Amino acid sequence: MDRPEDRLALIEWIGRDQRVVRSVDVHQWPVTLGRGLHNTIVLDDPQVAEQHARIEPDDNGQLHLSVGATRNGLWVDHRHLVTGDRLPLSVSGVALHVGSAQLRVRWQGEALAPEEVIAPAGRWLRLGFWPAAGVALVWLVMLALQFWIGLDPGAEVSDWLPFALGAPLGLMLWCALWALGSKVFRHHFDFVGHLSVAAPGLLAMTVMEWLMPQLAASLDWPWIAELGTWVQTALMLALLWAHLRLVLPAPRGRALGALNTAFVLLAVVGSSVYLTMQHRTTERWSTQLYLGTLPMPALRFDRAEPVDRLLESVQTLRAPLEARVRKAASDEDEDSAEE
Amino acid sequence: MRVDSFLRSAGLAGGLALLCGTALAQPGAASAPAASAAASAAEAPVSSAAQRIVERTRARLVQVRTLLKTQDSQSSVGSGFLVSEEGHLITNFHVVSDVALQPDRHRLVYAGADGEQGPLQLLAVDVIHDLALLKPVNPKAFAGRGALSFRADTPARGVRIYSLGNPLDVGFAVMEGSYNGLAERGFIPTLFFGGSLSAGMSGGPAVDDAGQLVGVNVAARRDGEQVSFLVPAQFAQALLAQGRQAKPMTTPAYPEVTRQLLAHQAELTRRFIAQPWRSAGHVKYQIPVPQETFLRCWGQGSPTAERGLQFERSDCEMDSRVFISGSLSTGYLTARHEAYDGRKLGALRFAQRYSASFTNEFFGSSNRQRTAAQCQEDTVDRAGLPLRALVCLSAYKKLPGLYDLSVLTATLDQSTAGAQGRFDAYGVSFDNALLLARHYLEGYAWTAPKTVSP
Repeated sequence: MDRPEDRLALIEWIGRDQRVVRSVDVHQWPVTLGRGLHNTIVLDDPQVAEQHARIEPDDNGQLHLSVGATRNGLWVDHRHLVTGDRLPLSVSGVALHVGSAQLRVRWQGEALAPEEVIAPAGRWLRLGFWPAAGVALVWLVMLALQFWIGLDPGAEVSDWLPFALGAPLGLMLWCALWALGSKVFRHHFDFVGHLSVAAPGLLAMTVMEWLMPQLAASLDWPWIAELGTWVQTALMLALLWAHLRLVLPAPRGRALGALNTAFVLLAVVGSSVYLTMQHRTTERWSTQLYLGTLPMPALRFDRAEPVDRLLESVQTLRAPLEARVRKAASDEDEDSAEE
Repeated sequence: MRVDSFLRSAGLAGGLALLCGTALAQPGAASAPAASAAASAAEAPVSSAAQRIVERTRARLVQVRTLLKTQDSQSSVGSGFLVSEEGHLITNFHVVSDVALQPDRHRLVYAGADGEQGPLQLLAVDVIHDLALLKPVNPKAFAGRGALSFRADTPARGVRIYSLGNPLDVGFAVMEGSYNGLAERGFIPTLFFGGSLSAGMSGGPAVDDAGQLVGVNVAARRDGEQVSFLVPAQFAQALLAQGRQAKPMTTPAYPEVTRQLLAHQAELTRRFIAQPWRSAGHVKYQIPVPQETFLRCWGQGSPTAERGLQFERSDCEMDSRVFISGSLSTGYLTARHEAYDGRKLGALRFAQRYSASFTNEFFGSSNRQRTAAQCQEDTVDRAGLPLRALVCLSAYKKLPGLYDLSVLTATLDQSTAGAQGRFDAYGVSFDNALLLARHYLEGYAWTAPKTVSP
């Protein structure tokens, strides 16, 4: 890229991550593109013709692209051109798709967009290393408490091995794998970014997993436990969404909209499919049949009711159960009628 | 509640094997017991009485085969015998249940000792005692063969009786054994026959020296030796009297089965609720444990050396169950409880294990027979004792008006100890389900007034 003062235009190769891989200065018109060595821009691609296209200004200085003898043609800003087509190039920065190459043509006199502030992906998700590590530590302590509760008293030190090795290594591996994803798509091994996502996410899930059923048991409000399973699902999806934000190349505008839509669809379709499948065998829409968690005596705040009251509520099961039996009978009749 | 397979396999499993050979039995598996049965028959010299009985009974004995309507392969085989000059036959309900419940898909034929065959029709069933009354389509099929007579009195314990039938479709045979009176702890009266019965002998007669009917072969315990069961002859006699003039059953027998089960559960519930609960021997709680009049209980405790949760449990089940189809037995009760001691654990650890045990319970999901379980839960007050209680019900789809009841309980007053219980009633009416649930829940209380407790 010498002689910048003579530069008429610039042709850039765009990589899959939308970054410029290579660029070539244009010092004189016309510029020809093709596989042949006589072209200005040589595209060594079997899907490109010997003389694939040609760019040159007309008498008024307006640039035009004309397509040579090619079977595949080419795309200009998603518009397909075939042999013999001639198209004026009006705006600098036009995208050409020739064979497998993605090119951009810029020329003198273009209007530049204002400079953008450096904004790492998902800036508001970032905690920085020490805060993220701190949250991760709190999570590990909670997990250790859970593990301790699961062990019988007098456990050997070796009984702690699955936790001591598994939990920190698991977290690091999780973050490392996502960071590898960032490396592939964004050229940045963003371990800290993913740790800032994973640590609070996992902490929230662990707290909720313990808190919601306990709260439900203490107050005797089973719906809180039911809500808890959905909160867990939502947290899980949010965690995945946040990791993906850090992996996918600069999702903004339409791309970000697509990502969000995909997650909303995943949540809605996924839970509908799950509930429908479950409803086939359990005939109910809640995920839990009953509240399995029992309150500790010190944390029990509901009032014990007379047995009569429970049995009265059991009475209300009669009509729906009878309706199901009738429905099963009519389904059976239909089946045998079909036979 | 902890699911402990050891106790089940040691104590309660094995269970009753109904003696109806099915097409599903694998040929390899079937041939092994056949061979051993033949060997034991050869070892025991057949008495002259047995010889006499075979000669006299042979013509009155048939094999009862259930065939698919459209083809000749048998879906199940059992035995049957003549009880009237008009050709009435008695067999087990479970031999003919396919025909009774799906008459448009199955049909019945008999095969006599001399190879003669013919179609049969079903006149009446007694599902509670597992009996069925049949008649040949051709009224003259069994003319002149006579019939077995019913013995009026009960034989003395220990007398020889002879069971006849066609074990494993091998051929007609006689099995000698002893009469041991009624099997203990049965809600449905069943005779204990000290002899071998094999699949395929179901519905065959067991007769005394004089050739009079004592009982009808029905089941055997596979975890014991020569522990077999007969339906007392009086029920066969009653079914004959009741169904003698009946028209053949051509529609599915579900309404009749439902009627009989409703009567059975009414009697079962009435007798069960009339009994007081036994004590579980717990220091703090009264835990309802059923009397062992028609349930059988097995107890188990955790090893004393264990450093985790200590527990004692009891499992009570009824031996008597009502066979409806290969995938449905009903009309019985079970009760169990576990008393936990978590003093070695501390409150946090105990709470986790206590909840896990309460969560680890299964209540039926929807299938061809039943709707999925629907539940109500609450913390109930049992004379000051706070009790978490869950009551679940599922309805029978083809036996309208019958339900399965499950009641799950856990005491909530202590931070390092407690008791959990589960009571199940299979095939009861809705009202009786409520009565039984109340009866069970009211079986919980403090052993002493609350002021004495912490």
